[in-house]
Amino acid sequence: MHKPEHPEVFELTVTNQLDNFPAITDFIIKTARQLNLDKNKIFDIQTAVEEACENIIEHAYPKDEKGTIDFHCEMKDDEFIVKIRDHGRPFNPDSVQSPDLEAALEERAIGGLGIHFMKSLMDEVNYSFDFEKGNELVMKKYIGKGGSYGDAHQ
Amino acid sequence: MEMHINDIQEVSVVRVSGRIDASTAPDLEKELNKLISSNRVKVVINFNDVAYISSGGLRVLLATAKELKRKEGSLRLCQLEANVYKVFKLAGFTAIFNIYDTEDEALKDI
Repeated sequence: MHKPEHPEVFELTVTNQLDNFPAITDFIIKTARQLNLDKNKIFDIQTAVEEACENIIEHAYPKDEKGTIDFHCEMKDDEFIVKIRDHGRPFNPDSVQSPDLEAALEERAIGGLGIHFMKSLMDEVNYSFDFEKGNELVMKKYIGKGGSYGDAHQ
Repeated sequence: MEMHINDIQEVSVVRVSGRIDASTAPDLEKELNKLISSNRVKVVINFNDVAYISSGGLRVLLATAKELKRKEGSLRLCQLEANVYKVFKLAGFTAIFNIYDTEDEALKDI
């Protein structure tokens, strides 16, 4: 099948406010639908993206500081790629301790779940920081070749 | 997100609809805290109309469950939509919460 040399890209920029979540979700769902992804994969991607955004709003930008979050989505070689960029403080998701999923209720810690979701629901999660460009999180979902936890446990 | 609270004898049934995410979870937390502070410590949360819950929403449920346990109350969850259940499972929450298919079953077992 002929593949276009320049795949279609989908982009959105919003400010770092919690009330932009509906706009972000709407963008991800519409983009994924346009790329013919099934609803389970759309849910996984949407959840991972929202968790990433919660982290950016909570950790990357100091409270009350205005900033932006840029989204770039494309489909490349059967991979759905979403790049999320912000210009806040460096925030490496790998620096967050993984939650103990086996702990009893009393011992369960509150943090770390969002990053656990991102890593479980997506097939690849990569982070980089650049002083000029800021934080960049690139997450990939493999389409049509197996897939991550989210699909295997329906 | 919307919430309706229905007190059935000693049990408070909280029916939630919409999305429980970082922007709406604090409202849910506020309502649940109000119940607990007025000594309504037997709580059923019905998720029938909840299509999405984020880790922020799960944090509220975890904090509520801990507080209810401390006060010797109980928390039951019911009618989780498939994707919402998937998020609970991913978080390991299906092992620490009592989850029921229907509100009736949850009410019978509280």
